[in-house]
Amino acid sequence: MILINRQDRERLGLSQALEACRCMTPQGKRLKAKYRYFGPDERPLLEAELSAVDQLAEYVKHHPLELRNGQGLLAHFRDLRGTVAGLSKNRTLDLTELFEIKQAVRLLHKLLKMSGLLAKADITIHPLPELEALLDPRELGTSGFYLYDDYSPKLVSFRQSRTELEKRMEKTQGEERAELLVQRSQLLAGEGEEETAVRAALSGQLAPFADRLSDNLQAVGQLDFRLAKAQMALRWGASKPDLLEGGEAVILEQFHHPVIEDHLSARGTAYERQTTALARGTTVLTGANMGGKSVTLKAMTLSVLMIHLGYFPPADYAASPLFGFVSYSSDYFDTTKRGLSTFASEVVKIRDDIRQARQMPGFVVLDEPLRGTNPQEATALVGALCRFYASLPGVLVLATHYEVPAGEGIRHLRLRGIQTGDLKEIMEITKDPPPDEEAVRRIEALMDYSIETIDGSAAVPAGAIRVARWLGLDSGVFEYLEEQE
Amino acid sequence: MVRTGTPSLVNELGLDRLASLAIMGLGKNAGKTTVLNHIVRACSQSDFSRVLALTSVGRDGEDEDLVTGGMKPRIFVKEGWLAATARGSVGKCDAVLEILALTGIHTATGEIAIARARSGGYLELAGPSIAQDLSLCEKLLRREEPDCLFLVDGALDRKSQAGGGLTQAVVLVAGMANAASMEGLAEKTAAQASLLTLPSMAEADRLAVQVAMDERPGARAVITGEGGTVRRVLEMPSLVGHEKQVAESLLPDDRVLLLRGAVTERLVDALLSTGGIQGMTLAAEDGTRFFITARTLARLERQKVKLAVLHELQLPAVFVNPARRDGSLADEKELVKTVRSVVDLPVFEMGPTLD
Repeated sequence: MILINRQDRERLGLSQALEACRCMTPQGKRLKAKYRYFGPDERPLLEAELSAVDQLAEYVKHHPLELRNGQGLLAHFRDLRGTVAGLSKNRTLDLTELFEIKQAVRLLHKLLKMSGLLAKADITIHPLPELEALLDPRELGTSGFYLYDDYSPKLVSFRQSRTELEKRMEKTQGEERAELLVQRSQLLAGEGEEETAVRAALSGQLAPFADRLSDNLQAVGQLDFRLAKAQMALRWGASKPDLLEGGEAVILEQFHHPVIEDHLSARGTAYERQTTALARGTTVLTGANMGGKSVTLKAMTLSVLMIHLGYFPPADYAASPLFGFVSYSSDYFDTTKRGLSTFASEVVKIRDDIRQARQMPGFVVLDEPLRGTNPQEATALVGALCRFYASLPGVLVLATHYEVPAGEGIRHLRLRGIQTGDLKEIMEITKDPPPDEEAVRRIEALMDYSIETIDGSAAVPAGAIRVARWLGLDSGVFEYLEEQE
Repeated sequence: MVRTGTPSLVNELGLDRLASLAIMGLGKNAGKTTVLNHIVRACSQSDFSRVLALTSVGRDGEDEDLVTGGMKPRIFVKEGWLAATARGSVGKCDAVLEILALTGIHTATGEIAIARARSGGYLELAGPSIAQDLSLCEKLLRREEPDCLFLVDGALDRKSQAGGGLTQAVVLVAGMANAASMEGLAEKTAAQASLLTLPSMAEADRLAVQVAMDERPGARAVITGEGGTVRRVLEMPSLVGHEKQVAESLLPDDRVLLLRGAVTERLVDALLSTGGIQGMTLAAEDGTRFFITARTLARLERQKVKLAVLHELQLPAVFVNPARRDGSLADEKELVKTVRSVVDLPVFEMGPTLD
C-alpha cells in the first residue's frame, strides 16, 4: 500500500512522472488511475505484469508499424460502462448506444487480428461473432448503425407508407396537405413504437454477451496500459526490474527523477544520476545544504514505488524485494490545514509508519524528520528511531543534519557535495555576490551529487555558512558569527 | 422579385460554388431556421446534386426560434443528407438516422453525433457552440462526403464563441423582431451587411498575423507595423475586461491591430479614447466578429480607421422577415423596398413559415 499523503505525493512528483505513461483508452486511463500496488504476496502477479511490459517493449521496438496500427485502433475505444451496464440490466438501448456497441465490436474484431501484439502483451480477447451478426445483419461491413429494415417487416411497411405519403405531400397544398400531415403523424407514431420494439428486442439479444464484451474492454484497457508502460520504459531507457527475496538489499543503478531531470535540463543544468544499494535496516543519508538530499530521496522513493506499481523505474538497473508498504514524508512545516502542530503531525506519521512496519516490511523514507524540534532532543529521537528500524525487516532511509551514531543495522551514505577548495576558489574570483539565480546555478555546478558509503558514523556535514555567504547574506551577520567563534 | 423556397434560390445564392454557408440572424427570432428550411427546400426541389450537411451553432440554453415554435431548429431533409446533432436530439428526429460517428464534443443536449438520413424526414439540429468544435464537425462530415455543402444555422451573438473564418459565406436574416421600425431595421441591416463584407487585410499583414496566431494560440491581439512586420502580440484569456490594455498597447507607427474575439462597442470606445488607433487598420477574424453600431462605424471613419478581416466572407443575400415580436406582420413589400434602398445586395422576402 502507499502511505503518502496528498502533499507529499505532489512533492514526490509521482503523478507528474507518470504523465510519461500515456494511455489512449478510457479503460487504460482508469487502470492507470487506480495505482494498483503489488505487495509481497503478489510477486507472481507483478512478475507477470513486468514480463508482459518487457516483452511488449522489445516487440514494439522492432514492429513500429504494428504499434502505430494498434494505437490507431485503441484511440477509438470509448467509455462504454454505462451502455454495457444498461445491457446487463436489460435496459432498451438507444440508437447511439447500439452504434457504440457496434463500433466497439468492430474495433475488437480488428484488434484480434494483431496476434503478435496481443501475445506479447499477454492479453486475450474473445471473438464476438454473434454481436457482429446482430449489429450488421446485412453483412455490409460498414461502421455506421441504424435500425435496418431486416429487423422488422412491420418497420419496413411503416417506412414505405411514410415515404409515399411524403412524396404526395410535396405536390399538395392547403387542406389536402393538412390531412396528409395528420396521416403522417399517425404513421410516425406507429413507426416510433415499432422502432422501440426493435431496439428492445435487439437489446435483449445482445444482453447475454454483456459480460464477454465487458471482459474484452477490460482486456483492451490492460493492453493499452501495458503498451503505455512499455513506451515509457523505452523513452526512459529503463529496464525490467528484478524482484528479490524479502530481506535482500534494494539496488538502484543510475537512478534519477525524470521530472526534476527535465526541469533542470530546461534550465540548461545537467542532472547527475546516482547509484546506491539500500540494505535491510536503516540508511542515514547526509550531505551539505543544497547537496541534493531531498532530490535523492525523491528519486529513490519514486523508483521503489514504481516497481510496486508495475512500472519500470527510471534507472539503468533496479532490483528490489517487495515491501508491504511504501511511505514517504518530507515537509511538516505546512500542517495548518490538519490542525496539528508541526511536531504532532510528524510524530503521528512516524507512529503510523511504525505500527505498519511492525506488521509487514515497509520502505519508509523520511526527509529531515524533526527538523523544527529542539536539536538535542531531536538528535536523541532520530538516533533512537534509526536503531529501532535497524531491527525491523523493512528499510528506513532518512536524510538528516543530526548526528546518528554507528550501530548494527545502521549504514551511512553521504552525498559528496562541494569540495572546500572549489567553493573557496570561486568565492575569491568575485567579491560581489552574483544574482541569486546565477549563484544557485554556480553552486549546483560545483556540487558532486554522487553517493558514497561511509564506514562508521558520518560527521555532520558543514558548509552551510560558506554557502550563505556566497548567496550574499548580510556581512553584519558574519561579524557576529566570527565573534561567537 | 425572387421568392424564397423556389429552386432558383440555389442560383441566387450561388450554392453550387460554395463549400459552406452559415445563416446568421440580426438578433433573436430573426427567422434563421425558416430561411434555412427555404434553402434546404430549394436544394431538394432543384437539380442540386450535392449532399447537404447540416448543423446549428451556439444555441445552448437559448430560447431561440419562437417563430418556428421550437427550442431547436427542425429541418426537413432528404435521404442521404448528413447532420451533426446532439444525442438528445437524435431521438426527436423522424428521419431514419444512421449514426456514423460520435465526436467527443459534449453539449447540454449530449454528445454530438454525425448521422446520415436513411429516409426523408425532420431533423432536430443541436450542434456545437465553439469554433474548434464546429470545425471538427465539418471535418467529420467531409470524411463522409468530401463535396458536401456544409450549412450552419448560426448565431450572430457576441457571447457566442463561434469564432471566425468558419464558413465561406453567410446569409443575413433581418427580422422586424430586431428593430422598432422598418427604417431602423434597414439601418441596422446595412451596417451589419457592410461589416460582413469587409475586405481582407493586406496580404503581407494577413500572412504575418496568421503565423503569429498559430505560434501563440493564446494571442488575442496582434499588432503589425510597416510591411507586415509583427510588432507585438498580446496574450490574454479574453478581450473582455482588457479593452484598456489593448488600447494602451498601441504605439506610433503601428499599422494594423488584429483582434481575435468580439470587437465590441466598449472595445472600440477604449481604442478611440486613447487615440492610438487613428489612421490604423482595425481587423477581426471575419465580419461576424464585429458588434458595433452604425454610429460607431461613423466615429471610426472620422478617425480614418479602416476596417478589415482575416477571412473575407461572401454575403450573397439578405433575407427580411416581417414578423414582429408580438406576432403581427409588417408590410412585406414595403420592408423589402426599405431595406433594399440602403443595402446594395439581393434582398429576399421571407416567404411563409414552413411546416
